[in-house]
Amino acid sequence: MLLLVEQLLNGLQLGVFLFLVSAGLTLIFGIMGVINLAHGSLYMIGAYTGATVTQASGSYLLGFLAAACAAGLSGVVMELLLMRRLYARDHLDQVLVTFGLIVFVNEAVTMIWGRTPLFMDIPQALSGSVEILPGVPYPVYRLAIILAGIVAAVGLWLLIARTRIGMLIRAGSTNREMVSGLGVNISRLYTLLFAAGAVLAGVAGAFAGPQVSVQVGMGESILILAFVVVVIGGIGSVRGAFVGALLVGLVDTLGRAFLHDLLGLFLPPAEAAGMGAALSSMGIYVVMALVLIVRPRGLFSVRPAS
Amino acid sequence: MSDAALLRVKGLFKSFGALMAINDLHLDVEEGELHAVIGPNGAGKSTLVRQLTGEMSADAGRILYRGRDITALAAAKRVRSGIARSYQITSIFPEYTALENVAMAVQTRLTQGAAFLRRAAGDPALESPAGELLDRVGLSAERRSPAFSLAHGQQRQLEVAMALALEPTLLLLDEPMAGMGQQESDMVVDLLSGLRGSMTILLIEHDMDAVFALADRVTVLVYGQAIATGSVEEIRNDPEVRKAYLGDEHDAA
Amino acid sequence: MRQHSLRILAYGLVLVSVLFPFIADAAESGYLVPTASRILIYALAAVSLNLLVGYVGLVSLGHAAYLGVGAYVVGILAFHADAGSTVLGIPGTVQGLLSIPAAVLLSALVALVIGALCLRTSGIFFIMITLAFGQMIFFMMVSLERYGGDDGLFMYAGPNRLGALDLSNEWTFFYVCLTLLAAFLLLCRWLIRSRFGRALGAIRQNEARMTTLGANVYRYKLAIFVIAGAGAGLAGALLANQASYVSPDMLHWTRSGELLFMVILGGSGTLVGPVLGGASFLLLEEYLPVGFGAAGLETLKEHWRIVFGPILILVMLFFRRGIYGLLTGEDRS
Repeated sequence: MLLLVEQLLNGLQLGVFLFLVSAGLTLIFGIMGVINLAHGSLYMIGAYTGATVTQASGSYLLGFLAAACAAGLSGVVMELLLMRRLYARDHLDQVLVTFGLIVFVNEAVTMIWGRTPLFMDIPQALSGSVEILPGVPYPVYRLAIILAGIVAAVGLWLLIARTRIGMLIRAGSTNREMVSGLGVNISRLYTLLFAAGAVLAGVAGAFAGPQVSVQVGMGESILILAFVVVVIGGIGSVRGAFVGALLVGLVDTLGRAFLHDLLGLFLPPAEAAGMGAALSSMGIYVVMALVLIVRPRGLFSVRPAS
Repeated sequence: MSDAALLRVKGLFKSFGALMAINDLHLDVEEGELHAVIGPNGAGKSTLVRQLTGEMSADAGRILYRGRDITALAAAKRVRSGIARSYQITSIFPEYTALENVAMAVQTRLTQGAAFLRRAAGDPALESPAGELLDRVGLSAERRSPAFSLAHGQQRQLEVAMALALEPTLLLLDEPMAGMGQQESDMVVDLLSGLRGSMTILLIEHDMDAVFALADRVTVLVYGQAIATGSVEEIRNDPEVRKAYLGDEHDAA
Repeated sequence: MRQHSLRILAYGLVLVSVLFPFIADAAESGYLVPTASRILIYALAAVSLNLLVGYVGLVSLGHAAYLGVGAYVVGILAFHADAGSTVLGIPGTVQGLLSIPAAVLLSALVALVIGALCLRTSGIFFIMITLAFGQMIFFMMVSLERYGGDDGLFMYAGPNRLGALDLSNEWTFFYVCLTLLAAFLLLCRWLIRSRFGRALGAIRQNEARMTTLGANVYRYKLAIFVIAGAGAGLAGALLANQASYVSPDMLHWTRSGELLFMVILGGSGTLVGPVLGGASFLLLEEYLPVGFGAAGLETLKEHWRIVFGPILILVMLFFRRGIYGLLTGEDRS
């Protein structure tokens, strides 16, 4: 029971974390119609910058800010130099150009930071555990991430539902041509949007720093998860990204924690462990496949039926 | 309500959000007739065609073809049952030549099983009927021209040829004369006259001269409902129709 | 390029390919033969992917999965032959005449199942779901502890025997690869020119129209998806024999991305394009670092990918027609 609560929270944390990465991705897909494989690279840039600046300055706050800025700036440069040329192109071109971008950024990071992974400690203020329920200690850091993620989600919701920019975003995700026809400076909106998505990804990267080893390739692993979230949630829908992220976070975490035990009820221990490991890593893809079969456009698709 | 009706539409409904495109539509098309459907823009004519081919599902109502309920039948299967359409916005295979386009239609009708592996180019089993159809619609000179290079009116003719290649029993023509000049329109009218009697045709059109020249019966569609059905004379003289539609047309002309 | 010069170039390339081991030997570069074999194998994989991308317009980002399945069939059968055990009741084998068809068959089967599910979607969703399934298979292979998991599986007995042929002989292996590539190209040519091929082209140009012509578009797509998967499986089986080693890395999604690159680099929509693309891609990978080293640019020699990435980007942005397009002046994209 206690384990269940702990794992539920872990799932929640992973979900909220994935939301930070996926929100930007889904908006970029939905509004600009671009598949950006290099979104994971922005996450990686955030992680590397966060880790380096924190270590150099001793301040976590500075590290986080630096991560946000570095990722945001990279995003702007990416958008101005490359993404602009891709809006009119088909998906295959976008996939391959951003693929080349991943190769470039990975190598650049290797050149700057070398091949050894960086390690980052959990900030002192956020270390240790807290008893959220009697007998259930839970790491403060994870709670902090959950909080930050929820704040970001609420903030994004307010932005999209209550502001003019939000209105443009919502309109843009269902009908791109219309928005440019309204005389809005589309180029600037796009750059802004792209930068915002980049900042979110970069911040997520900085958060991830203390939890995973910061190394080249971390971008790709998170990218795939983010894709799954976006597809499950529905392209262009931030609400979908939130629900999808939570779903993915919970399925993945609970699967890894409990699947082999569950299988152990039917199968001998060695088989259960092996199968459990296989199925839990496959788990989220199975969910994605199921969602696509039942609702081919995702759970909260904003695209009108054709 | 005739029992010889090839196509019967009963109580059809289709809405897009708050817009009721088809509103309790009843329509009968009798075998062998050329039945025209006219109506102002937005009356639901194109939506009707899409419902009939199965490209779009109905919200409520039934579509009966040869007495059989096909309301839920998939588009590809309806084609196999003999319902074919031509498109208002030309829908062809741009990179293929006119001949290849029609051959493609012939091919889908004829080919089964291992025949799929036969070489496509230069196959008389495909190109002979395709060539004949191109002649019939007046595109013989453009056989080898890639479809994208054809003029607008010629692409329409190609459309019709492709629909004919399916040897349909019910041919749905969605504004075949849209955007055509007088000469081209006349050609299409001749073509359709020639087809009369050999198959049942449902013609959606704006061009009143063509409609009155060709149709056996006419149905007037306004706001998704059939407000009148009858012979050309009956429709011409129907006061409701004049008010709703023809009157506006003449003012605009 | 004029048709005439193009023809000469084509014949020249074929001649060089057929005589390559002899040429390499004469140039004291016999070590290049395995590299050439690798190029032929990847060319085969790229040609199979191009059936989907170039001829039907289906962008699969999970094609490496079938490569991997083919490779693992060979690897697993070799493992069991070595250990004298069975897998699912089937004894192991190092006989290529059994393991290679088995690899092709299983890849085709996996493609059938995955294709049946993926082809219900289109556009971005298709790209994503093929990626997801590719990942699923990847993780499945990683979790197979018995067959090496993350570290991969060595074929201790070396490459298979193909009937009486010894595939560990570099020249024999080269000619086997060349023959299989040629055979597959001929098969593809026949398919493309058939009514089936014409239907695929029609689907690519206007899928909705094909449906209203009465064609079961889903079935066409599934059929070509399976054939493409089988081709990749064949390439995978050869790859396993080439390295005497299989690993989950072969299935990583970045491999699928690379295959897509080869297709575009060479020129999609033509049969020969992907062959050129596969060759160019692998040659770039091999010789870019070597070139930098020779020019004395040591940093670039080690970090050649920093140039490789932008090359890929520039090709996609400005040379979309690929090598074939550049040579012939045709735009088949």
